[in-house]
Amino acid sequence: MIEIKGISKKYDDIEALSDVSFEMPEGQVFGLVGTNGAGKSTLLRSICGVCKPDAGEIFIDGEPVYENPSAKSKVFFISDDQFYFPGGTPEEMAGYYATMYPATFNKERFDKLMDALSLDRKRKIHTFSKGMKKQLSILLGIASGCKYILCDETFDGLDPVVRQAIKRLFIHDMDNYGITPIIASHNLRELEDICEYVALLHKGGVILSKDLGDMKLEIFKVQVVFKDQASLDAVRANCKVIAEEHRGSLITLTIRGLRTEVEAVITSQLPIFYEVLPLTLEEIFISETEVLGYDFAEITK
Amino acid sequence: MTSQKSQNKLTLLKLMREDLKHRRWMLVLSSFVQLFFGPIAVLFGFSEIEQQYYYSMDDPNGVYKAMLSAVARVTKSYLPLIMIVIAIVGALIVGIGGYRHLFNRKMTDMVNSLPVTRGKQFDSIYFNNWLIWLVPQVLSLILCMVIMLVKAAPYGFSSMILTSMLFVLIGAALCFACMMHLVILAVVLSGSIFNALLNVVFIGFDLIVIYFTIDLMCTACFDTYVQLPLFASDICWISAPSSGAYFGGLIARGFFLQSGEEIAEVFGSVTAFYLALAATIIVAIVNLVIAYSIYVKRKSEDSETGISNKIYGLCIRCVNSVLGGLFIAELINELLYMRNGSLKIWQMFFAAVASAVVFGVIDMIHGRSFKGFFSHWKQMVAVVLAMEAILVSFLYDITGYDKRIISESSIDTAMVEVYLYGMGSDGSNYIKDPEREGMLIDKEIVYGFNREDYYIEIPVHLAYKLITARRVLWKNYERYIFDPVTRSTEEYVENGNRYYYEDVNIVADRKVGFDFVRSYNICDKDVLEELINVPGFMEQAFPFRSGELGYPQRIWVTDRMGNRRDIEIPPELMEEVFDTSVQDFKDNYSYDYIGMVDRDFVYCLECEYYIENRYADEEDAYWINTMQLYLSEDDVRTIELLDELGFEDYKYTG
Repeated sequence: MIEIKGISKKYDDIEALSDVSFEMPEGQVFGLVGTNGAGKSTLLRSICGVCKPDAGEIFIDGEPVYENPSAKSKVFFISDDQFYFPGGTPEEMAGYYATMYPATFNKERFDKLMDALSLDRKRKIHTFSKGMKKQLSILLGIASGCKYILCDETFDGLDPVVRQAIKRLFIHDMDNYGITPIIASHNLRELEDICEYVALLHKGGVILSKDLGDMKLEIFKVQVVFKDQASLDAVRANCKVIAEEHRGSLITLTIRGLRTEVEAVITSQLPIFYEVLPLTLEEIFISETEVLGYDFAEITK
Repeated sequence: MTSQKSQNKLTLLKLMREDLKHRRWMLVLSSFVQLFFGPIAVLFGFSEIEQQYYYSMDDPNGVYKAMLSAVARVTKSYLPLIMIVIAIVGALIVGIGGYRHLFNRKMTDMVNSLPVTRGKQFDSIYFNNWLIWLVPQVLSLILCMVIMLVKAAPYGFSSMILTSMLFVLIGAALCFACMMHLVILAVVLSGSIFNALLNVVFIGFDLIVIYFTIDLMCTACFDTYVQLPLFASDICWISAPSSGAYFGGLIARGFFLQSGEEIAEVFGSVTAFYLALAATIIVAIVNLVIAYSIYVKRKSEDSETGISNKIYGLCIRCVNSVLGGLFIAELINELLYMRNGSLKIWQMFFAAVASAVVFGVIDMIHGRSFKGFFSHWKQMVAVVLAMEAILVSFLYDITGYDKRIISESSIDTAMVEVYLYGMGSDGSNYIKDPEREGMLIDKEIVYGFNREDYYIEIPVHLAYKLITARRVLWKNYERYIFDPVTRSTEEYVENGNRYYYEDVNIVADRKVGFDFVRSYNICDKDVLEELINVPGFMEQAFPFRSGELGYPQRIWVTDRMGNRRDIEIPPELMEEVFDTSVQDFKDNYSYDYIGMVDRDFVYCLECEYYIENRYADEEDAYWINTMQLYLSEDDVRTIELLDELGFEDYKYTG
């Protein structure tokens, strides 16, 4: 398990992370979602020991990570733009990481995966396309045998087929090798397919960190048609309405709370029509950040 | 425990192996350059000597001498020189190349995310740097040694060659270490390669530039400042706190010279060499320790920035901005050479502009943006103001450097520098010709020349008298008389009271604190008389000693119109004229005689003669000097002789 305890990080006057604390359980795909500049990359770089937080500490399986080779050997960081040695080939990079992760790197698996994705092991990496470089970085991470694979915008630039293949690979390795992929991304639909646990970051802080299933049980979208305004007011008064949208007589409410309790309140107002719909991760993210004032509706006005 | 240690060693070696894989080109380049140029230097050295050998084939002693000369030239000159250059350039390349990841954020992230401590990462690169240079160096020196042994061993130089090779290796290693440590320090302080190169220059040269700028300003602004001669060891000391690296080569010379006498000639003394050597080594170690400390604590995000350490960046901007301003102020002084007070205004104006420009440009380079010029404008203003304050303190002698006196009781011993006294032609003894405004004429009548003894000891009470004697100050080319006793000044009056002065360089060794070293233009006749009458002074100060002046070659005469003509005169008569003038001088020397400008000349002669050069080898045993003989009425015998010889037409007075 990765424990993040009260970490803060500043770049000059910019506060990238502010007193962030949560835990990343192992054996699950962990999604790290956030607005632009929320501090996702800084958090990942801190987890793998690249950055030293100004305050707080990060523990990997109980060990502090910064300047601790033992803890760092459990983490592989796939950055959004991975570095490869100039003129290097995938085979040379594999050799390099094999030296750095001597106990866990699996060269045979790397070769096998390279062949499976039809990537030439002896070709110069600088001749690879952006997507191929991305694939290579993921394969190196998988082959490293590290317990925690930190992926920063990893699915960007991958074609849909490869994306699915990588997702399957992650699931396979979770089951067979016990890896824990930690994926930071803006593409919430991608994450929704694969993530079981999600942390929402906004302006350097964590809005929430929960199991995605639990999260979806606590927030709903209700489409409803009431007879009168008083019914709507009653719902507003008795439920935690996060967002509200009117289209003619059809009202769409985003409500936080248990589904049974919410339905009880709405039915008590005898609506003409109502339907409870689950929220997508993207909708949850948007509604949560809107609550915090991250709303660009004004931009079109 | 042992297992853990061996595991660590294994990891370091593996890291080194991986690092070396990506720096193979450096190893190849280093091998090529060293294995090519080392033997070439040796063969080149011997090819020159073989020509001498050819000419002295019949003389076994000549062959031996030629071979000795060849071995000495190769081991003390050609080979060390080429190896020092390779070491310094090599250190620059491996220092920057090894830690290049600090300039690339992606690479830094990758390196720092690996399960290796930063300290170990640093070590692996550092040791590889040594390997890349040292292995080819040793191979090259072995090859050089074999070539030299083949050529010179039959003449019995084997042990000399072996020893020399060892010293070449030690000297070159010292250069390499000094330079590499400095480069690594510059690299860890920088976020880009350009800034790293700039920092190599700044860290390496700033202190020595500060020294020379202060020296320049003191020379330009203070009347009493004396520029002391610099030995190699002095330069090492001046630069030691930061830039010992660049003078590692200078220090390494001590190893190549080997003999104590040669070392003393370059470094002042053998002790000075060892002290400078120790300082250089300490500086190299300190540079490495600082670089290591910064490296392990360096933030990943500092990569691809201009400068990674803000405090360092500020220091560099401020120091160089001040230096730039002062340098331009002095340049304006040299270029404009104004005769009025507006020079100071222009100096201050251009210095402010230069200072701001230097500050802004460095800021631009550090910030890697043209917009960075005014990014720290408040600091810029503060630094320019500070620079102006320093400049003003020099221009107006606010520190009271020129007027400072010390108490007699604080002086332990005192000396007067003979070489510069009176006879000096170092350019400091010029006065303004009242007839031609702005033109300067040489006041002195006799040029001095090299002597063994540069200083003569004088009594403490006389030293105090010299320090407190009335003297001419002519700061900013406006002469006035300074009286240290009353601390008052009065204008120099051309008509009426005329003040003649002699330039006296005094070194007062104080009981506590630094030596008090000043150059005074003393116009107190009584004090000068007392100085002249110090036992042995005249013999030391003036070049009239038997056997020292000799071999006059020809005499010119300058007439009243300023025309210069050769005098046709047989050598024996020339010597007679010369000897007679020397005798006249010895009979007449006094303050009045020295202050000859006060009197009318009868003859103005210039005598070209050879003097013995005690420090040269046989080929350059003599060198030519010119002595001016401005004969006044007191030089009765010389004038009589010249009259007898029929030179009356050439009389200065007509």
